[in-house]
Amino acid sequence: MTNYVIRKILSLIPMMLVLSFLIYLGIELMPGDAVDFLIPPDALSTMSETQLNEMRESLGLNDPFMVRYVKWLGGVLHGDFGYSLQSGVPVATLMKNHLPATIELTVTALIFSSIFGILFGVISALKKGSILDQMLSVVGMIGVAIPQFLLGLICINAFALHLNLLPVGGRMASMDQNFFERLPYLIMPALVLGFSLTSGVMRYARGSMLDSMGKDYMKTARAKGIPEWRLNLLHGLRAALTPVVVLIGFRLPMLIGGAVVIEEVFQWPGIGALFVDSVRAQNTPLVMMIGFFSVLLVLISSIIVDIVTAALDPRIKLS
Amino acid sequence: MERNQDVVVKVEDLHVNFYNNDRCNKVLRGVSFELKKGKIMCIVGESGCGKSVTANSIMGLLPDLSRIEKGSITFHYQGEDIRIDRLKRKGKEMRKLRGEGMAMIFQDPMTALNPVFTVGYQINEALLYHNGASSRKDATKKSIQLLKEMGIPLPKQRVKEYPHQFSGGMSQRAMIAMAMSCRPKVLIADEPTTALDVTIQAQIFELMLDLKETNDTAILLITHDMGVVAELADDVAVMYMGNIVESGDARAVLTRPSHPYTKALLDSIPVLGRGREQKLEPIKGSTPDPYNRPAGCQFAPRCAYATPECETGMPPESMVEEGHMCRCFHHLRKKEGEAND
Repeated sequence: MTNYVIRKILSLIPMMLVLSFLIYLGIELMPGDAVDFLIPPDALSTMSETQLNEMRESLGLNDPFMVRYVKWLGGVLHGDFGYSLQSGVPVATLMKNHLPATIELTVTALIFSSIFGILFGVISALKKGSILDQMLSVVGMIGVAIPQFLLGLICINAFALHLNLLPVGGRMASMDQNFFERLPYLIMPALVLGFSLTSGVMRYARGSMLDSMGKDYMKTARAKGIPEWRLNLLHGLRAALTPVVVLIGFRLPMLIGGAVVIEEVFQWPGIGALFVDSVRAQNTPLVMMIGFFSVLLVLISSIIVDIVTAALDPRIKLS
Repeated sequence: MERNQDVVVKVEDLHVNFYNNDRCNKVLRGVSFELKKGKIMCIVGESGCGKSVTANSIMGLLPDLSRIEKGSITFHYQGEDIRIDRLKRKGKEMRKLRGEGMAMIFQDPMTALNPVFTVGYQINEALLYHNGASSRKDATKKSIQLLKEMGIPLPKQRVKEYPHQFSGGMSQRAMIAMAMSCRPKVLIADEPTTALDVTIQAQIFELMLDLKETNDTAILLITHDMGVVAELADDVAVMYMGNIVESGDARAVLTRPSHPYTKALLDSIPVLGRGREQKLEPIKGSTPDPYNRPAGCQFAPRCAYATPECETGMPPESMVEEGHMCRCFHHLRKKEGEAND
């Protein structure tokens, strides 16, 4: 087990190298560069070719591709993530300012969707064919089908503008508010994001639970005379949980990039807007950093999923 | 009430219907038999004839969309006569009986155990739920003892293992250990060896014979293997399309079959040693659609002796000899003929 984890983590290193190169290459293949984006069109008309070239030179954009990549990589290995080409702020500072907000939002949404998804999925399965089951199915379909921004706007209109219950957007009124004072800001974006995630888990949990309920071992357990609740929750759910946990596990990468639309709608100062902007501006250091974290999270999630499935299902051995 | 002391379960005129899509399948159409203490009763018949439904009715494990329409199942337990057909299937009384008074083992032991719990945990569960053990520790001790009794080597280690680490035969032994954990009066085995290979089959049956001897358990064995019947059964019931067409002492039924279906079944089995020239007589046709049953005797359309009388209704039970019953018009006619001679 420990061996497995160590080996997996070591295997991350070459993978990260290859993937970081591919992301770098991707940015390089886009037309234009950061300077084209940074200079406003009216300023461009007054600037000479030499001036532009000087700017490129000062940002290091004139070096060949490989040289720039190796320079970037060397910086990262020394803990220097570079500066944002747009604002000149160190990338590390930007990440430190924006990442917590996004994680706060996505973690809440993930926890919410996992708990309610499993809960409603199991209820749906136990009451299969009932009105409740059908209602949950319809709500689930709506959750999948409705665009997040639309639901977000509807909620803002209803709860913030008409009912005046929650703030319209933002993350906090001032820096010195504690978590509970900031909670009202979190509720709406987290629930809207969570709602669309819930239905997936719900449908999955329902299917998995129904599958497990039809298994022979359920009949064995029933023949033992144990009560229905124990039968369903222990024997049924326990075996049904593995695929659901895998689904949730593979959603972990969402922690970083999964809330772009919601962050935009609710003016949430997370990483989503930052990422979109920096890609448009070909702000290589920042794009690289966010991309790097996303990729890392995907790889780590798959290790976590492996470990959790092995813990849940005795038939799976890590080796 | 007058009752034979040895009878543990008495099934009388049991009718069970299954419902689906507005259609109704009359699965059991009047089944009567008795399970006796320390005896093995075999039910044989083709797939879909109602063998398993009979077993599940006794255990209260019928599917949700089914109903006992008529008849009774009486379980003699702890000095009382309990009417199982009147108990709520998932109710407390029925749950107490299941596992404690009667237990069941199934066809495929590899899927009958929950893969995510250890074998020991699953046996403990039965013990703890029926006050067979005072604590988890005590239960584990008893589970180890049970596994040992069932002939599982290294029970102390095996009890901690998961079902996927058990072979098919081992799993079935573990299932039997679980079933026998509370020393039930009745053990129902629904084709317990169909999924196992022949040598393991023999071992499992030996184990069951052993249990019958030592615990005085009444065993209801569902099978379609006539060889098993000849070997193990004290009594046998032959079922066809929801009826017991012939029943009685196993030796009597097998050596002097009276119902054309029983005869046909026995004629269709190859006998080892008779060589490849032996002639097997298959039963003509196939079982009728359960939703579109023949009006009279269910076997009439496939029966070589069928007469117009056979289409008038299900023949009544008639005695072939002491303790040997048969439901057949042909047999009745033959008997009358003999009486007139």
